[in-house]
Amino acid sequence: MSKDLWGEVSLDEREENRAIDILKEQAALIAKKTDNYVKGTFYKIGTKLSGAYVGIEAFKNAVKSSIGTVDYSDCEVDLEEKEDYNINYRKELYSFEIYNDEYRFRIFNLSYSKEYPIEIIPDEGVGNDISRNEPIKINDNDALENIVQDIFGSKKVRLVISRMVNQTQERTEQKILEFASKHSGFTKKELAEEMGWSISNTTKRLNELTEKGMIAVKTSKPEKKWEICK
Amino acid sequence: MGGNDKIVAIVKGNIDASVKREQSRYTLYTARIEQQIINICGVHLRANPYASCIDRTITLRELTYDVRSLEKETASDNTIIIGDFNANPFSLEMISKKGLNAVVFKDLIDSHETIKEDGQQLRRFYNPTLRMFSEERKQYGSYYYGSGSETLYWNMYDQVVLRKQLANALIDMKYCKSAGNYQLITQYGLPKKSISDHLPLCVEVRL
Repeated sequence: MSKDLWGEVSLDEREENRAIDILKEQAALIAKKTDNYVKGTFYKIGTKLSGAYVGIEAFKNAVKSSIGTVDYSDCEVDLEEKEDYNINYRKELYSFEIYNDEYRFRIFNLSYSKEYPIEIIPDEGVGNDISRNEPIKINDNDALENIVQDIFGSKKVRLVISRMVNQTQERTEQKILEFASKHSGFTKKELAEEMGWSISNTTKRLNELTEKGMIAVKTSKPEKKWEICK
Repeated sequence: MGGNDKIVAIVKGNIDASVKREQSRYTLYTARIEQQIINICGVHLRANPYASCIDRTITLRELTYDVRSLEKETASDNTIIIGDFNANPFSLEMISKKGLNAVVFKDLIDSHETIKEDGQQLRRFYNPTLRMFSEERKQYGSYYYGSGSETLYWNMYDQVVLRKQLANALIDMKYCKSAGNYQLITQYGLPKKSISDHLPLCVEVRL
C-alpha cells in the first residue's frame, strides 16, 4: 500500500460560524444603549464569489449548456443531488452601519462565508484608530468579538455616536416643541401617537424637556397634560 | 458629524442643506434649491502610492451604492459628485462599471443611461472633462507632476461627474488660476505650492 497522505483527520465538530447572529445582535443593541437616539443595522449588500466557486459554477454551467444534462453514471460515487461544499466558501458582503433619521455612517464591511476565515474591512478612520487598516482576517467567533469590541471602542466611532445622539436629541426636542406650540395641554398618549413612539420613550422625552424647563405640566387631573413654557 | 474630516461644505444661509452620510473618503449631502432636491457628494480618494487603482475602484463602488440609496431616499436624480479623485478621467477606477461607471461622451449617456453588468442594470455618470477642458482654453489639469519617465505632467485629478438629469444643466467648469487678486499659479503656470498643490475646480450648474 502507498503512503497515507491524509494525515490526522479530526472528527471533532467544528465551531459554528455565528458572525451574522453576533453582529445582528450588536446592531440591535446600540439602540437600547442610546435610548433609540442612534440605531444600528447589519445587512447584506452584495455577493462576492470566491475564485474557486466561480470556477466550479462556470464549469458546471458550461457542461450543462453543452450537453443538456450532466450524466454522472460513469462516476464511482453518485454525485447527483449532492451539494457542492464550496458553497460554504462563497463570499457575501455585509455592512454594519449606525443611523438616525438624518444621518448614516458605515463602521465596517464584512466579507462573510459560512466557513471561517472571514474578513472585516473597517472604515479608514476607524482602522487608523485601532491600527488595523487592511482587511482583518478572522478565524473564529471569539476573534470576531474581540476585534468588533475594539472597533466599537475606537475614537471615531465614539465621536460619531455622540454627535448623532446630540443631533437626534435636538431634532426630537424641536419636534416636541412644535407639537406643543400647536396643542396646548397635550397628553402623553397624544404625543406618543403623533411621534410614533412607545409610551416609555415618550415619558423619557417629556421628562428631559421638563427638566430643561422647555415644557411644564399644565394640569395633573384627571389626566396629566403638558404645555410649552412661555 | 465626525465621520469625515477631509471634506467640508460651505453653503449659503438661505439654502436648506444637510449631511446625509459620511465615510472616510466621501460625504453625501442633500440641498433644497428652489424646490428641487440636489444630491451632492464630495469626494477625496486616496492617492498613489498609498492606494492603488483597485483600492480607489472599491471605494467608488461603495460610493455609487450609497449614492443610489440616497437617490431612492430623496426621490431625486439630480446628483453631482465632485472632488479630488486622485485619478484622471480615463483611469480604470473612473470608467469601470465596477467603479464609478462614468462616461466621457454625452452621446453615450444620452442614449444609454444604464448598462448591464453581472446581471444588474447600472446607472452611469457623465464626466464632462473632455467637453470642458482643452488646450484652447489653457485648461490642462489641476495637479502637476513632472517626475518620472511615464508622467502626463498635467493631471485632471479634481473632477465633477453628474447624472444624466444634470448633464445639460452644466454651464461651465474650469480650474481656477486666480482668486480675486491672488494668483494661484507661479510664473511658469504651475500650482503655487505655498497655497495648494492642486488648482481649485469651479463648476457652474444652472437648475
